[in-house]
Amino acid sequence: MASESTRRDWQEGQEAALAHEEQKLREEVLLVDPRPRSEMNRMVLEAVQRITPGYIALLVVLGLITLVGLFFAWGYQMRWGMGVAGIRRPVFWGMYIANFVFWIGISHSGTFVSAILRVFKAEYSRPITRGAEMMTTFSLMVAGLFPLIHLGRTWRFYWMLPIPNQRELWPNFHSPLMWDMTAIFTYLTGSTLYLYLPLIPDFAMGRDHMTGWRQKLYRVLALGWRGTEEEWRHLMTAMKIFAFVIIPVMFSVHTIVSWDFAMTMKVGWRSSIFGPYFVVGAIFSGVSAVITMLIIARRSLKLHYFIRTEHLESLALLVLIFSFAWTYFFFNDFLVEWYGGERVGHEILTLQARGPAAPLWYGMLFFNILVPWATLWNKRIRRSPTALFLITLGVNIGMYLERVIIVTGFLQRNRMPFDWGEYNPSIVEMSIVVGSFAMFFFLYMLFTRILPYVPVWEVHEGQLTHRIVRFGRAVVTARTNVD
Amino acid sequence: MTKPKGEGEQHQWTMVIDLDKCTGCAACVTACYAENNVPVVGEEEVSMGRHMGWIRIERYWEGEYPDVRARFIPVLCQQCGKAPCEPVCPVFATYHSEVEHLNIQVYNRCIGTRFCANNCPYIARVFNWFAPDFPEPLHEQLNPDVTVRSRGIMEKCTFCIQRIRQVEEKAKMEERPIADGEVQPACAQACPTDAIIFGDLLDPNSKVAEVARSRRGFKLLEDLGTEPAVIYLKGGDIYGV
Amino acid sequence: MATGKATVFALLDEIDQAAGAVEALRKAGVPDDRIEIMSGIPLEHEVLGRPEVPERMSIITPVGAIIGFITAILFTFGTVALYSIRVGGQGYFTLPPKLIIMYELTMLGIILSTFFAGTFWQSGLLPFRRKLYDPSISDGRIGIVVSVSEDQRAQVEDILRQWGADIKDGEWRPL
Repeated sequence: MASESTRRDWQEGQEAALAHEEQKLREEVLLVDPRPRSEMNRMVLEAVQRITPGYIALLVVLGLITLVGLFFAWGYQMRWGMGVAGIRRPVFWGMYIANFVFWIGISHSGTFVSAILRVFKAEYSRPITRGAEMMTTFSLMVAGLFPLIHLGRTWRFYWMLPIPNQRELWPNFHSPLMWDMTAIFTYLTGSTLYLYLPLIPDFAMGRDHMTGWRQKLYRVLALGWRGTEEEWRHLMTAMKIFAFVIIPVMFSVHTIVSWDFAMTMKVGWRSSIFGPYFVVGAIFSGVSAVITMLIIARRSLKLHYFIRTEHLESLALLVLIFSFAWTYFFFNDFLVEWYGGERVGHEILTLQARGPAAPLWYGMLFFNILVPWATLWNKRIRRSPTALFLITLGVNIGMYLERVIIVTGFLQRNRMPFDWGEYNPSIVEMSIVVGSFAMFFFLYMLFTRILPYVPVWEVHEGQLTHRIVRFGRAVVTARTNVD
Repeated sequence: MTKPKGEGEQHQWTMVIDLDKCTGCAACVTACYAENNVPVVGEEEVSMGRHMGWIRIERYWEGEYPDVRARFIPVLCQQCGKAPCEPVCPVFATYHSEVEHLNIQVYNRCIGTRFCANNCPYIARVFNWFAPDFPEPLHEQLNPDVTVRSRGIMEKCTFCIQRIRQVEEKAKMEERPIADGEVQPACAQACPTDAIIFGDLLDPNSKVAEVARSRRGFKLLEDLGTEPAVIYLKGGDIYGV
Repeated sequence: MATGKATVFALLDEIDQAAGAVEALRKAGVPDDRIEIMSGIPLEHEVLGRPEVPERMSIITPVGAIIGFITAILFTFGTVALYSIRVGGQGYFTLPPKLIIMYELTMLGIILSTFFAGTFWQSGLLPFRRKLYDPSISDGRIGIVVSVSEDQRAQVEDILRQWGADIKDGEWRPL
């Protein structure tokens, strides 16, 4: 009898311990912490309507910076000529192109976090895909401005389009700029539609449960969605195709951006490793930017239920991995130039390490290698939003510096030593750069209050297919494979 | 080889610059400014590396003081046979003329991507950073045969294509071949030591064909395979052909 | 007896209920194509024991790809044939630089055809017309629409009620 009751006591104790474990797991993992769909809908729709005076003030300020810093300065430059920028012979490309590469890089975040994680069925990414896809679309819009800002005669940009004209002249499809234009157009179209597709059921949800102007807007955007078997089936197939198609397009876009440099005869630029080097750098900075934006959005939208530490932690691990990969490519490119190569290459490396812009180069190494390597191996740091915010912001500073160095640094030295020259950005260039950041944040902030930030139906689906199971004495999550 | 496009007689316009004769006087630079309506941009812009000259005298110092020597090399567009600047232009603003073997720049087509300038290993291209300024009475001396370029476009040495065309048309009207030395770009005309020789390499009896065979000859950054149409002569202490 | 058509619109809370109701309806002789299911999340056809929705994506996507590819051929080779300009000693009809345009436009063809033909044309999302719907579907409930003849109506409603369904007066709302 006694042993019987002891065993029962032990079992009860065990049960309590396991229940406690389960509770901990629920707090950690969103997909095993289900709430009724109506409650989740309400949370997401409340987030969309969270418009505070502070938010409006910030939006107005960002809008003004965009107008004055970007568009007024651009108009000023068009009126007086490219000379108002600091570019000169031989540095014909300056901050504009560096900025272009940077924003194209940021745009890789959405595709990577959303499409690649979807293809590989990384279930944790369900609530964060929307935030990442929005980054892709808006950063591409900002990036797309820069080749235009950079043109000497912006008002003639349409001469690059293959439209029949009186001169019977067509664009030169052998130019990397034409590849660029085609690739960016494809990518912008693809990523905007890829943002839109999973939004349709969310728009329908908003249409059903909202009033006011948003209801009217959602009604149009939901296209009469009811959630029938037909609608779901075609939506899911389309999303699957998009995920598979957008990944190679993403790779091609940044590879082609790198070819703007690698196709030339410039020492330092002409490198067959530039394609993958740029792609890896883009994903590195993109994933970091996703973390930064998720932390901001989670705070301002009060979405702590959906966007949890587990998501930040998983993404932080990706940042660390891509820091390794970026370092590998960087060192590869560096060593080839350092060891053999032309004298000009050596001059470029000397300029980077000892020239007036050397702090940029060391800053890049500090933010891209030292900081992530020294911190992100640590689970506690990976789980701290404050630390992650600072580290990922640093990564993007480092990646920005990398682009400035690659574009403007390499141009300062060439095979004709008489024509070497230093480059310093002018106030107009800096104003446009600042304006472009304001424009990105403006668009992103504006649309967090227009588009539902979390794809509720995807979270709901994930919660239905995930369970807590006991594996011996361990309490773990299990996924049911339906599709 | 595909048949060359375009009309007219085949020419291979070539320039030979004898560095042993060059004194670095910059008469060629001045002549070029006057002939081709090249704007003068002022001290401040030049110090930023924005001088507009289509030809420049590069000066290198050799040796240590007191045993120091100045070396000069006039650098202009090399009119490459395989020009790196051409394929990167998205709007065909620069292309290769297969009858004259010149690297053509079409100002009207240019939208100012500056890709060509970045890809030119000779840094021979100049950009109109601002609208050109010819204050009175300077506008009186503008050459009517040459376009004044607006802001935001690329330009470069044309081998004085307006002079080439003039002679070509005159010869065609008179139904005779172009005589050697009939075409003279402004720089060659102005050179006091006759260091610049210009002519058609396809004419085996021309002066330029003769000096091009000199063993003192070399081409700038020849190993890049751009096939420049400018040949430099440099013999060190060896003189004579 | 009236032989008019009747439409029964029912809402259920659980997936299991819906699966049971669908099975019972089929046993009662209601053909599959008379039943329409609406849900707030995608449900694979096996979940409710429904026939698979046919789709033509494997035709639509290649057609889009081919259209994109042909456009690229016209842009790259076609425009060169119309007005050939020699640049940098490169050939007029060389493949390598043109492959990039072909690749991008082929992808664009796939993207656009998947979106427009794949999503709209196939699932009949547009135009906006009055449809049978209930807002609680996007709150996770499952809607079943059964179209039967008037004399079967009572039987169908009974079956659905047995599985715990709310029978709604079919509300045709503008969407």
